[in-house]
Amino acid sequence: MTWRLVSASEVGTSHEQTATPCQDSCWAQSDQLADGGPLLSIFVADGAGSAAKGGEGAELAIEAAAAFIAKKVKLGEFGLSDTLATDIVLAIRERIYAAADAANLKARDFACTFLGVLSSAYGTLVLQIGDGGVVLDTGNGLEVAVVPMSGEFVNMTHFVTDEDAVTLLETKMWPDRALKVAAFTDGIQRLALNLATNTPHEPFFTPFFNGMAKASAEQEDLLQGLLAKFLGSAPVNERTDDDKTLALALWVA
Amino acid sequence: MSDQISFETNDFASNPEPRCPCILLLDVSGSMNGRPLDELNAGLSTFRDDMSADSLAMKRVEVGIVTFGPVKIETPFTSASTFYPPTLTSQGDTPTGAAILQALNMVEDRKRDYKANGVSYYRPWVFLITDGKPTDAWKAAADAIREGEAGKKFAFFAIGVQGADMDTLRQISVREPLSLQGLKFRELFSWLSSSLRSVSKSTPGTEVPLEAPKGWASV
Repeated sequence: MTWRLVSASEVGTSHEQTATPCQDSCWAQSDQLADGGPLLSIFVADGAGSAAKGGEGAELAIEAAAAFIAKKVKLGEFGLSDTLATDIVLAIRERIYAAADAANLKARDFACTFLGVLSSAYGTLVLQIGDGGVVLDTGNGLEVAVVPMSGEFVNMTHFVTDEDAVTLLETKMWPDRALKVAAFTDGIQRLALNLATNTPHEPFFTPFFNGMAKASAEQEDLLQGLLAKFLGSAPVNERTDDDKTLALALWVA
Repeated sequence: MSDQISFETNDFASNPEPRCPCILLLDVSGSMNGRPLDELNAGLSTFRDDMSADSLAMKRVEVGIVTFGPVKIETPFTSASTFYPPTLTSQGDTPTGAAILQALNMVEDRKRDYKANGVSYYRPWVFLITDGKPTDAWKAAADAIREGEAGKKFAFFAIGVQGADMDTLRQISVREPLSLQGLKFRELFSWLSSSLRSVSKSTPGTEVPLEAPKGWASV
């Protein structure tokens, strides 16, 4: 029993026009905890378009978060708490500040958002700085974890590199394991959420979770390609010209 | 044999497009009579034409026009797609202060509408074009602009047409006012529409650097 995972990032059409690479990054993994049970980790990050190294910042953020969790898993038992969320953010900032120093740049040049989901038999933790969103189901149906974070204006948001990142950090916890998880960057946000009510647009998610549920073992390898194809498809590109990332997990008993 | 798996969907949430509001605050005092006003009217048509070449901007940009004086809401906020420029005629004096306060109120009202309807938006622009000297008390308007700019509530731009009192404009606008070269309203409005077009497409984290005003402003 574990999670079935699929994730992909695709470049936005506006980036293709200006030959800018995709500045989103993502990660989805299931690890084995000391007690034998699985731990889900999903991370997505969106590099700021205004930052010279936003895309690299997003990659570094994901790497740092993954390395931090790998270390925790190795050391044994740990709690899914606010403290853990803060420690992840601090680890990311340390990595980005070091990279900025080494390149003689400012951390601001590596600005990116960061969203994370950690889940085990003991509960689920969501952490978020900036826009994009996490939709999950821990047994009570799909819900939006954290209200997408943007400033007053649509082209403003918060970044993990902001001075007050730890204060800006939003976390939410559930006592149960996540059965369905979708984490996405802001390129997908307007397609997947009803922004007026901050609720998931359920029909958006249905094909993904249905497809993942019925995929046979041989088909599992195809999922990533199908997701990438969807993210680059015309109906999606008609709605958004931004980079887009979608990371999905489905608990298969 | 297992079923085909498809991740295809085009059932998306129907969220409104984010909006990019812009108010044109236009001086139609007596001194604008004749060629200046003809060129301003031609400029508004250019603005409409340039904007209509861009389908996304047509959905996102909203235009409102306040004329003075007397202060009048010539066009309430209207989507660029349904914006047909009025033909302005010259009228009375130059109550710049009252006109500015009217425009700033419209901006705040519009933001309230957006919020109530779950519409996200870009920072509003207020664009003042005048050829004279305020004939009313403008200090309160200048204070409101300073406060709004400091709180990043909107961006206020002032353009002086020949004869404008640039010293007063400098005290009203936080940003350095620009002088229109001759009657190059068409060039000015081309620049405005292209700036609005790039702002209305920017994504989070992107401060859009404004293109330098070329071909219409004199230094």
